[in-house]
Amino acid sequence: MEALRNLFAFMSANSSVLIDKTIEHMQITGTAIGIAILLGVPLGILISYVVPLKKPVIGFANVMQAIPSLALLGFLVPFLGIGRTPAVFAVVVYSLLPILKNTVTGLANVNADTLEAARGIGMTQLQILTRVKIPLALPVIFAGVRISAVTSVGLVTLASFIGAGGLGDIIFAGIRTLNTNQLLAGALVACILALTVDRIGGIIEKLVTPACFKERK
Amino acid sequence: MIRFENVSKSYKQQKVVSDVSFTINDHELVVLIGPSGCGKTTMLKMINRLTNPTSGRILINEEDIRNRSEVEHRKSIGYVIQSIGLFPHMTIRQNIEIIPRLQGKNKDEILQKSRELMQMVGLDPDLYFDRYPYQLSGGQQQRVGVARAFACDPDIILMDEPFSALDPLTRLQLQDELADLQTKMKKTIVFVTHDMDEAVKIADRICIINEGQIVQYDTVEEIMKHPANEFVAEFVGRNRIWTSPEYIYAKDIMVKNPVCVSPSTSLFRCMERMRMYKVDSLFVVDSEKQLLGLVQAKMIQTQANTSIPVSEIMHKDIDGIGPDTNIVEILQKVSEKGINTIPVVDERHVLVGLITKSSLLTTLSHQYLDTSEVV
Repeated sequence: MEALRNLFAFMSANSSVLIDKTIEHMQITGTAIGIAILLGVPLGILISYVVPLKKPVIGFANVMQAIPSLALLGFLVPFLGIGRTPAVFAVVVYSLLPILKNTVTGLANVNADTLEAARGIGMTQLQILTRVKIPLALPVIFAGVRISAVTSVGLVTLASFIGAGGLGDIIFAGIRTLNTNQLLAGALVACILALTVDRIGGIIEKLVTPACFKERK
Repeated sequence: MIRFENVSKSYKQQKVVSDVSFTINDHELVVLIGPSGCGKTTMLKMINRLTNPTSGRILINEEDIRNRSEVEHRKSIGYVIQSIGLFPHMTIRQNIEIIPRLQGKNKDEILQKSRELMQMVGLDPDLYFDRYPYQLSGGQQQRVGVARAFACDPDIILMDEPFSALDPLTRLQLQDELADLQTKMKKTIVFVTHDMDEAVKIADRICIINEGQIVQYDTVEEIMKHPANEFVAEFVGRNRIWTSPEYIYAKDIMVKNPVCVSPSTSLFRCMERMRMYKVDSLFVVDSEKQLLGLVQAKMIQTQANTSIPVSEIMHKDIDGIGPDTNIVEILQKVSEKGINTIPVVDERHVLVGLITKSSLLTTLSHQYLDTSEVV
């Protein structure tokens, strides 16, 4: 009980730093996820249509995913230096696979008869994509985004190692100075942030799910 | 008019449609039917270019369909598939209006048209417009599918087993409605099914397909009465005609060359003839074989003088029926009037045949006793 009280005392005393770092954390995560969506979704659509590209692109994303995160951050420093840029880059690379894979799966799982009906009544390929395929694949695509976003929150804490900032700064400072309260404060906020992102993701996922998938369950 | 000219289609080495030529007339409902894998759906999809022939060509109103833009071509043709053909994420109204809206038509006009279409297929627009397909029953969904096919006022509508996923009762109902709709709208409809009952019920013409070739393309009646070969007979079902007895006509079942006498024949001679031919009634005809009357054995038996001519006692007011009267009408007549013998006369009142209760009985018993030649 005493420990908990100390922790909250620490947190309220350092609230401005915590808030600053949380915002920083969110900025990095947000930027990275934004870029990953802008990159992953169109790329996923592209490889759904250009079949020969599918294997190499998914393969590349798989390899990237397999690199240990700290190692990846390390690799990036010689090329991109330290700070936010390599951190965002690393998060984008990690987020790409779930978004890419889910986009491909989502598009591929649209009922073949529905697509044939769309073709048969005279819709163009582009109209089929924008009005039928994407709306129907959106829940699956967004599930990928949600996974990416939650993992990114965790990854960004590590990015503090290469000077990106964020809640990692507080955690690592706590570790170095053996300040349990500082360490726990950073970790707790990072956890809450991850859970919040997951929650918001869930809400958005529900919003983008067409009515036909919602009520049937 | 849709014309297939030497159309073939191969997938790799497999020939699915081989050298098919036939014409679908305007305003007719043609059913393509055959066992699964016979190429009927492929033929249908070639009409709206969902697949293209390997060789040969398809013309619509004498224009090769390959000369038209694929998308424009498809927009000019209605297309109905099994119920999943509706877009699940769109409301009923959006589903019906999708193509007109993509074409950028006037919104008020579209709305009015959609309302008409909903009413046409028997759904209340105010009730169903904002629902999603999954909130409707299978039959209702398929009604919407039909309405969508009519949205662009196409001359041609293609239907690919539209009712096969429905329960039997709904299927029958929708078949009836389609038949009604067709009599009103007079579209050219190409309908694929594997259900012969369905084909017989709705088709103007049936095109029986087997192994990528047309085995017989004819009116429903001809196919039932004169199957081109064993395959058709087997496929149609030998007793099929009994599910549509209105296709059995007097001329098919009548006794030809009934026993006749001239009006001047004496009653005595009439008795002789009846004995000779083992009949109990005779038709009285003039030299042109025009029907004048009927005489029955019991009428002669009550007469004392058998030397008078038959014209004096014969029944004069007898109703003949035309050769194209169907068996249902004949049976109605028999039960209404309680008569045993019905003369069949042509338009000049010439006696061409005779139907008796026993010949009716023989015909009707075919369906239970003898499955070979029916009529």
